[in-house]
Amino acid sequence: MAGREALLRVEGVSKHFGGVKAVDDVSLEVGAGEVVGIIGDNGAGKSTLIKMISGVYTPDGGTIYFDGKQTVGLSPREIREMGIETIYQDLALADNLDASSNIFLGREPVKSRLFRTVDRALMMEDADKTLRKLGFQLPSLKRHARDLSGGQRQGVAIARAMHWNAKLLIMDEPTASVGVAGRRNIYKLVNNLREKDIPVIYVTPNVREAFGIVNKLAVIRRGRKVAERMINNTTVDEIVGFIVGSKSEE
Amino acid sequence: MGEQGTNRNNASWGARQGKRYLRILGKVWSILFLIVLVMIFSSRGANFFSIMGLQNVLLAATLIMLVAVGETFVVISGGIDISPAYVVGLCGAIGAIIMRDMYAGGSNPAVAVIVGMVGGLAFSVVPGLVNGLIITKMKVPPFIVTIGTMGIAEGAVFLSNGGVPVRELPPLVANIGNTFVAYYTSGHGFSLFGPPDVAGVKSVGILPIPVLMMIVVIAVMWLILSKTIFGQHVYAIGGNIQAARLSGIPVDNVLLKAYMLASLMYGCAGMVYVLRFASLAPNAGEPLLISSIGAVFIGGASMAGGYGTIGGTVIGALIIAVLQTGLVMLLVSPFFQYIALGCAIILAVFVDQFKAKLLQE
Repeated sequence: MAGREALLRVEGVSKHFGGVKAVDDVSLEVGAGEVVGIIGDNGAGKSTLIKMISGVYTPDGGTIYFDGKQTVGLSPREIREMGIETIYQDLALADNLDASSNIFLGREPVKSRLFRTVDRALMMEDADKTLRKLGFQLPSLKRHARDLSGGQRQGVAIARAMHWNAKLLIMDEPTASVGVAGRRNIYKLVNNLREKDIPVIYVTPNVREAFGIVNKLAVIRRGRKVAERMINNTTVDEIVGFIVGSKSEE
Repeated sequence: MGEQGTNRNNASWGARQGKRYLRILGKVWSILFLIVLVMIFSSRGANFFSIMGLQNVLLAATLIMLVAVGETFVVISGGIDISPAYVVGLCGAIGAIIMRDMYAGGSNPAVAVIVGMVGGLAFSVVPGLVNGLIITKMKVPPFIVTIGTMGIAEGAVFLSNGGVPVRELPPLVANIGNTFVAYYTSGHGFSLFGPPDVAGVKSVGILPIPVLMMIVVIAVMWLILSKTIFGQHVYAIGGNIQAARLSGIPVDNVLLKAYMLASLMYGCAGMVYVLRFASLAPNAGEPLLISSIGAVFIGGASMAGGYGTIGGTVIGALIIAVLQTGLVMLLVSPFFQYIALGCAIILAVFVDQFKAKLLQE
């Protein structure tokens, strides 16, 4: 990372909900090819933090730079257009729509510019290609999302994020609801991205999983970043200590 | 799938097949219901299988369909619109008053009718705009907002003409509304837009102009809902509004357009009412509200949003029209229509719930 400008710079962001400080003065840098783990207990503020990066929440304080540009105040759509793709924990699928419609949700290809019609044939073709490339097999692209298994739904959500040549991928607890095969697929995806120098923010509550996949770990506790460690410079015990609060740097 | 049906898998395979049939049944039950209804009425002496019988059903369905097709967009988006009960009348009244006053002021009747139609339709997007803005910007639930706008429209329509129907329209209005596209006269063949000028022969009209208008409008609405990006976004919002927002769909904008489009349909219904009856009763839309909401749900839309089609709504409206005209043909008291309609709506929502439960398993 030395000598390289970080692609994403989060500088002292905070977010309150009523009287609750969900995220308090958190800073974080993510550089090319890095897989940065964000780890912490349930309710520590991990999801709030990534939702500020993806534009769902606007921080109450602090700033965020992506690719040298300030992103605070931009809509989720504008942030997606800059190249930050997010796979949310609940996957954010429209259950009444088929896989291809979900992959192209909000970015449907236009067939006739005059009448603004959807190019469904192109959507099917591209969705199929993307899913195959990622190693996901769906029984039918026309099946509604609610009729798909957990792993298949995950595949659709990942395909949606990966279809647009993301410059940064955020994954919020991606292995929470998938089986062994789905998990392996996700690790493979993260490693592929690392090889292509595309950074990943990987949110997880699971320390052992994090050690198998990330380069750097940021520990969030009660809304604050309590520690940041390169993975080959720390131990599971140390990280667990930070998570539960038996250990602190201050 | 069938090849894997070894002994071990046979049971689950059978269950899956059974579920598949139930699912197909869930999709087509309304068509079957329509066929059964037509057969029951026919066996009791109602005449649907003649050109007049069929056209009577279509005429009875015209206003319901126009309102219901507009309501379909709103219901798919996850909302509901109660306002057509008086928005239909208000738009019709504005169009009719323009026609009446221009005609009384000495304008050419054709000009008066065209200006009245355009005026009524142009105004008709306003209630939808108000609904959409309040729902999206002030976050008031659609049910409450549209009850409010219904009340406002009710007051406005009664005030617009002192609470009495708008009459004394140019005679051209009734001519348009009660003319058929083609006429067949035995011995004289077909003629367009009027029977041949021969005394003493009887002609059969084919395709009333209001029905033609309805078919054109509904075809356009079908294209909008099923082919355009706007239509796709209406479905996405109804399916998961949060996901739609996260993916960058301009949710408020789409909802605003959906309510305006629906309102435009209520305006169309108001104008067709004026053409057919050459007058406008302030409460013209009132009986259409329940019928059209019934048509939408019988047609397969879901209370929760995300589901529904124009084709389904058309079938739903036909079922209601068959119920109404069939009971009239059998000389049953018209009040039974309301009871039958109420039962049909409850049945439709029951099927919707049953389907949802089935799919969860």
